[in-house]
Amino acid sequence: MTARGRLLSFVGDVDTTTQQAAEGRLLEVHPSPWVASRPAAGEDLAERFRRELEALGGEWLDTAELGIEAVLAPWLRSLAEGLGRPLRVVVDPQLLTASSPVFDVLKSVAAGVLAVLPAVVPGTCGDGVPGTCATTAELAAADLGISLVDLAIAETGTLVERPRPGRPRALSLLPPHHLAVLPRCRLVAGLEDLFDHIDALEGDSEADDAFGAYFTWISGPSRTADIEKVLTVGVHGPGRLTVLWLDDALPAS
Amino acid sequence: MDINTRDFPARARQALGDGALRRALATSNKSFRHSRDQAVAEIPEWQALRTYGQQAKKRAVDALPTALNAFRDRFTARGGQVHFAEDAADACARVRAILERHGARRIVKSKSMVTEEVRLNQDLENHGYEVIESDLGEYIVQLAEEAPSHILAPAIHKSRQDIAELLHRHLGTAPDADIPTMTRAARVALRQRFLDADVGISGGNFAVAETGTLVIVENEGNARLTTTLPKVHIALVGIEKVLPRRRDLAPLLRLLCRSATGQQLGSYISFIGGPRRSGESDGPEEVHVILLDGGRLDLWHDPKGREALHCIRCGACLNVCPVYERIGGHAYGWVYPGPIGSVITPRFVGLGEAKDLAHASSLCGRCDEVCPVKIPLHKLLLENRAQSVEQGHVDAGAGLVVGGFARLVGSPKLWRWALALARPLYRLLRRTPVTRWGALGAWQAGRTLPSLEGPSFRQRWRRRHARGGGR
Repeated sequence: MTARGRLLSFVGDVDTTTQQAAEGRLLEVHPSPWVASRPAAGEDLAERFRRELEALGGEWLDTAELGIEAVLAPWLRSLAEGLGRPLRVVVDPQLLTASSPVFDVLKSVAAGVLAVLPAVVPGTCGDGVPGTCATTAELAAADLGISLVDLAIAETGTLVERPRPGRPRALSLLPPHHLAVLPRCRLVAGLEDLFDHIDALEGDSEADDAFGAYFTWISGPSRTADIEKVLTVGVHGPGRLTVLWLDDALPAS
Repeated sequence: MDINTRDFPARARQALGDGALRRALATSNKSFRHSRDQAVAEIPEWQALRTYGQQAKKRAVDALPTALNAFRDRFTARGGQVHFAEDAADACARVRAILERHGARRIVKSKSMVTEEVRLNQDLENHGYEVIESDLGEYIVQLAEEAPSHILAPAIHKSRQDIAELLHRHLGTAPDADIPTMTRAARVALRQRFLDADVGISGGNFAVAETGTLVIVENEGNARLTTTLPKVHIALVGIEKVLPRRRDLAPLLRLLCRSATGQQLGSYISFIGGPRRSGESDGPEEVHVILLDGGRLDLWHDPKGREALHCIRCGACLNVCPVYERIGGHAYGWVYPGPIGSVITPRFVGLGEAKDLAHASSLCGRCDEVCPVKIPLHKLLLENRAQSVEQGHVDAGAGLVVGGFARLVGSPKLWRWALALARPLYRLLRRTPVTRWGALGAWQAGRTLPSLEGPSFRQRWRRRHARGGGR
């Protein structure tokens, strides 16, 4: 077998200058080929995103015509009716600010429709960071997780989320149903464009760039084809994914 | 996984006689191929994209020392910890050291071929840890006490009836439960395991040196749960997964996901840059990446083998391989089946240990055509054959036969004489089963010999010319 330390000496303790020069060569730009699946200039990105999302089994809630109140309130009520009890909801603290249109709707439908979880109430969590930290147990018991997405990719119908202080990573993962709030200004065309936009986002902290501790791309509901290649949704992650489309309004954060 | 590559001929023969397995493989391979072909057809520039993928992986693998160094620095700067493991025992010991430090007992895993490679589950169970696989397919093969048979779909060798009976025994579902019911039962059973786990162990698809980011592609959400809920996350990754530039991710993710499952992207792609940050209420407090050699350095140092390290483990070569489709993954006797398995397994476990694998190919080249990073798989198989001969792993008998054949085709006279003698012998052989005659019997078994119709080409040619030449 291999001699101990062989891999370590292979990686080596290269001096910084040599390493930087070698890396510089590696980071040279090799333009990746254009692929036809990237949205063309002038293509309606919202329409493309919607088509891709629905092809993946996601649902699209468009607020462009009727406004957010008229779309979201009855949708929440029908979910609660379907369950026959108030909906247990965990909400991204970014959507729980006074100026957030989503917060207004949640307040207006709350009685009898939404179960009061600590997470619906703005407050502070670990290290005094403003936000609402739902515990993992609360998330596991929730019916619906509502998050504000950071970016979305029209080409593939993909949502991009970064954790934030006060917004747990499992918010879009543990509840069986995920409602993602997507304002138009956060929609980018293709995969390659996404990396440019991520660079423009702020880092999580002074020490981190936008690539940060963690982010996740979500394309449709959780799925598996492990038994006889038959597609089945909702195996570990949410079996339902709904995108609430805000055509112009960006909730203030 | 134990190394059973020496038994390949016997295992392959057994699999060939297993009708249920053959049906399952034919169906799943057809479905895999159909999805992949459709997804590829959507990209007219697919060949240009493959060339880009090939170049990107070549740049990455050729610069492996630099890229590994950079990944270690960046990932450590983000608060993660990077370990280098020489071999299976080293990798397992490093995992156990982390578990011991945290007093961990319950471990949840998401899919990782590298952990199969180092036999991590057996090692941890031998040391008293409770390890549970959470990918649905891996969970099924773990309950059945089997090994995965496909790098993407571990339980593809089992029918839904097999699985229904298995889950009936373990989870109490109906013995004839349908697939959604079984999936729900597994979700419920595994959800509690996720919530209770002390440590999550995953694999990784790419380790981006430029940013210090580990990238994991999946569909079920179990890798997200594994890397989010437990306090400690350990990822086992082969050293060849390091990618210098994050921008190469876009083309490589396109190539990987379309080739693997025919999706544009996997349902979930996680980009992990160290432990949770201050103010976050979930996510692991410690993240370890263990980078494994396990034979990869030897392959890297062999200019005729290095390209095998370009593999991104999409599984497309398995799904088009006529040999894999007939014998399935278990026959190969180790972790990696199909054409890529026949290429890398002998390099990882020893050519002498797995000398038959290089011959588990008709050299039809379909694997070369679908490989998203253009690995010349059939050329690498031939290279393994050549090295087997050089290292003396071939029987003396085979050498005699090949040497004799070389003599025959080297002399026209001898060749004609042999052909004249061979024709009646061949006719006799076709009619007579000679299973008792050692090598000849083994060759005859499982083959339907075609009949020799009419005179030979040479005889016909001579007759035609005797009639007056030409047409």
